[in-house]
Amino acid sequence: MKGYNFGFLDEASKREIRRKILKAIAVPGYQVPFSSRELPIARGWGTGGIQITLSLIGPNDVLKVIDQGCDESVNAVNIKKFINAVTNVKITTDTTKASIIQTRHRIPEEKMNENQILVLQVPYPEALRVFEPSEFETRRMHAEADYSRMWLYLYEDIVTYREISIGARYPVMVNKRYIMDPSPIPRWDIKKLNMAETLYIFGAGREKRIYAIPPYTSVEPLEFEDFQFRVENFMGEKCILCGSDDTFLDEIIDDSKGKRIYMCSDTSYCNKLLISKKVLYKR
Amino acid sequence: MHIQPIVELKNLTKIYGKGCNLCVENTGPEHETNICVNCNSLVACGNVSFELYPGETLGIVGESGSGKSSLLKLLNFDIEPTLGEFYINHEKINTFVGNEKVNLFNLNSFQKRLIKNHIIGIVYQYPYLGLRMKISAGGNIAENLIMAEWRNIEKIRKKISELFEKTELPIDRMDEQPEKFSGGMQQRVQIAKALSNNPIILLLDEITNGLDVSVQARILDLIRNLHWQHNLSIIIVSHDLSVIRVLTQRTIVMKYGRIVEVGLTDQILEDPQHPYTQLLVNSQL
Amino acid sequence: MGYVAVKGGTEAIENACKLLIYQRIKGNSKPLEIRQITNELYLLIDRIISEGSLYAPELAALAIKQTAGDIFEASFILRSYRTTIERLGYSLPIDTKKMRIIRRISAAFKEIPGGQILGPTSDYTLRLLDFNLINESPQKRKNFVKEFLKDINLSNYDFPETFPKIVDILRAEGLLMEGSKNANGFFDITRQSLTFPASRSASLQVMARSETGGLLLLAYSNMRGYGDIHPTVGELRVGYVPVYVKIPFSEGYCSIGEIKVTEVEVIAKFEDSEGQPKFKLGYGLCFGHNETKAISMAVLDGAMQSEKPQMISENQEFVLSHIDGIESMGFCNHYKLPHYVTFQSDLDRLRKAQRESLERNK
Repeated sequence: MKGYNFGFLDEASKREIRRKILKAIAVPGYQVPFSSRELPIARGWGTGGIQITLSLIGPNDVLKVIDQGCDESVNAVNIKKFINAVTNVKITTDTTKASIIQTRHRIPEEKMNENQILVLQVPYPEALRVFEPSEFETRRMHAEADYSRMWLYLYEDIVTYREISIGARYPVMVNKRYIMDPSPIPRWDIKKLNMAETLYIFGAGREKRIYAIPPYTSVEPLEFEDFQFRVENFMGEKCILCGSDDTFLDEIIDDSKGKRIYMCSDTSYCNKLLISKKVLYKR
Repeated sequence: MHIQPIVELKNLTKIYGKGCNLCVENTGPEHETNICVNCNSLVACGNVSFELYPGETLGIVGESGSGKSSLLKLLNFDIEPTLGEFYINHEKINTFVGNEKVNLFNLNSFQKRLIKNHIIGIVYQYPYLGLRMKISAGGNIAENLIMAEWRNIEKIRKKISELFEKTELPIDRMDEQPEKFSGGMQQRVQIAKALSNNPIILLLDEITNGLDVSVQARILDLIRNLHWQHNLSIIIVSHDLSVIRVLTQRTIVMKYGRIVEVGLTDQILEDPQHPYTQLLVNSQL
Repeated sequence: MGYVAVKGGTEAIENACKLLIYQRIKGNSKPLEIRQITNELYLLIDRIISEGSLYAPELAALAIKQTAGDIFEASFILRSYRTTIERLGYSLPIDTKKMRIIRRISAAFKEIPGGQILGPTSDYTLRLLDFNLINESPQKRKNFVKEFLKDINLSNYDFPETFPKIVDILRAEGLLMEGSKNANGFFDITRQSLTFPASRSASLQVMARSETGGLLLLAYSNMRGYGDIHPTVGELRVGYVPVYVKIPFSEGYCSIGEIKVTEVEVIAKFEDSEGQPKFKLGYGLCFGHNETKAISMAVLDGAMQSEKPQMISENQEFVLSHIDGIESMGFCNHYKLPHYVTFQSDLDRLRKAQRESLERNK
């Protein structure tokens, strides 16, 4: 874009972010403060993820951006439009073809590999914020691995609701050291964080934090021996388009009487399956 | 026969304010003040040293402002001392700090928390200091168990039930918040919490203050029973000599942040030596 | 099937952007000139340059025009323009003693050396609608200016070089508690991430670019009684100060122009660590002419120096984390983004809990 540097941010800013990313990778699950530049996109709209993507991206990268699993969602479209305008990189919807994937609230269904980076947009980087509003205090807890209040929170939850009531944003223990907020991904995606081949980088622009899960790092959801972590249960429903019953589904209200239908949340994966099925059918 | 003390405290000094090198010199019973004239700082404890022996119950008496409550908070690492050494002689401590004899005041906050959680139990005068009022009574106890790596809800709840039974609390109310409990019950929850990880040393700070006489008597009974059952070493702070008489074997008398008299409790109550102790004993009889 | 999956987000977004432009110009009026905005809506400009934290009145005017006068959006555009500009260096600290003053008052003393100067203020206007402005003719304006200037003779007026600062007089008497001098340089909030407790330099920077309304809300809560600053405005001055930068490879400095700022020093009584009653100083300074912001800032600066913070306006982490208009506005609006994956996850929990509760009741 005329008048702007490649990747919008100036090179000194990118270097600072890359240094912070390296630190985050070196200390898995630890929230590294960074200065967080303003972008022409509002705080809370993925500015942490965008800054990470912009500081890493080169002219030969291939970018995929999703929101809620969908390439066509307004937030994803907006971010793609901006990054493409300031870098001119190739954009794809195919998970397997992207070198950098920026996402909000989902991890793609297709398995990612060592040559790919998943950048997650984070609204609340602090997993302990649910019971402790003070940043000074939560940083102390992380420093001393003083996590009994997090477990106590889960205990009280079980006592009240007979199970842990956390929906998305389920807290995880990274590398047996730091409790981390995995960003608001559904519980369905939590297992994909453990011992993954791919580097995951989390960016919170408004709260000015970067954290990471390097490849092959242990990531465990917090659970009790007799109250174990469980993923969302779709009660045997299938995607109305591709027929999958092993993907995370969006529940859609189909008519005014409240009839429900289900579709894959990962739309590009769903399309891929549909096309391959049609090919089979034609044969 | 020489018995090794379980707790050794040496030259403990706690100064509130900016402090100066005349603070300790300028204060104490002989100056009738704990405020340093030179720098206006408050000397809560000055050069306090004593030992606690295994299985012993040690009383600390004195008026408010004598430094007895600060002393307990220092032993529980709630506040930092200005100077002083603190040792606990027990095999359990070696697992946290190694075999060398180290001044516990010099440990990092992580090690201090381990000791607080595994070796020391404390019951505060005000339940809101020891309990989270918005968390269930059972949850308050569970927090200590969680810190000791308990990760099984059923086992945690079984242990809470046992502690409720032991401290004569109604088990069917373990999921209620302590703010809904009476003062006596809140103190029992604190005691149950203090006992949850089988401590070696129990610190009790004015635990019967503000309770009805009959409730007081039952709490004191409970402490006495727990003392024998668990072979605890107890330090109990009180301004009430009847509590001291019922529970303790040995007593320390404090005034203006200094120890003015130490001795067997019977002896101190029957034949006080220091003029201040005489005043204290006479005024309460 | 009644439902059609949402596709074509790109096109919809482009149309929405076009519609926004259409909305601004569809009334067929004469295009708003940038000069008109800088001349006549100068107080609005001052808010934008302060909250956008870029001293660029013409660009602020452009932002106001482009955003149809939305203060949040205009400051936001200016702030994100600022982030792309290379940082060449830091100026010397501005010296407000050298201010070319247009307004200067003290509430602490009846008379002050150099005199009270009211300047252009709306404080004493009657807040009545002036219907004459509906049809304001250029001729009427000319007449007013002519009339206004005719008796003013600046040539034989003796302007003072500087005005002494009121707080300096109190300071000389030893009545003022001295804050830290920040000997180790200053914190740059645009280059370093804020951690708490934050230095005073960081705290003042965050407030200087904060949103006026947010700052006022917290300061007002303190003044009303959720806090106890009871401020006295020692001095408020508005005017132009020169900005100097160091000349590279030399010892010299040169001026690069002047900026309009509002500076406020409020005085509040408190006891120092030795129990001596002293005054402490709350300091406020912002770009442009914005007295509400500068006073609020000074009050909060004083409040956050409290030894034992009890009220939210005294809690530094609370105040500094919540006053940035651009951050808070962005986050507030992000809730319009789709959240159906997280909502699905919550639905799953709720349904299971309901099923279990039904089974228990059977």
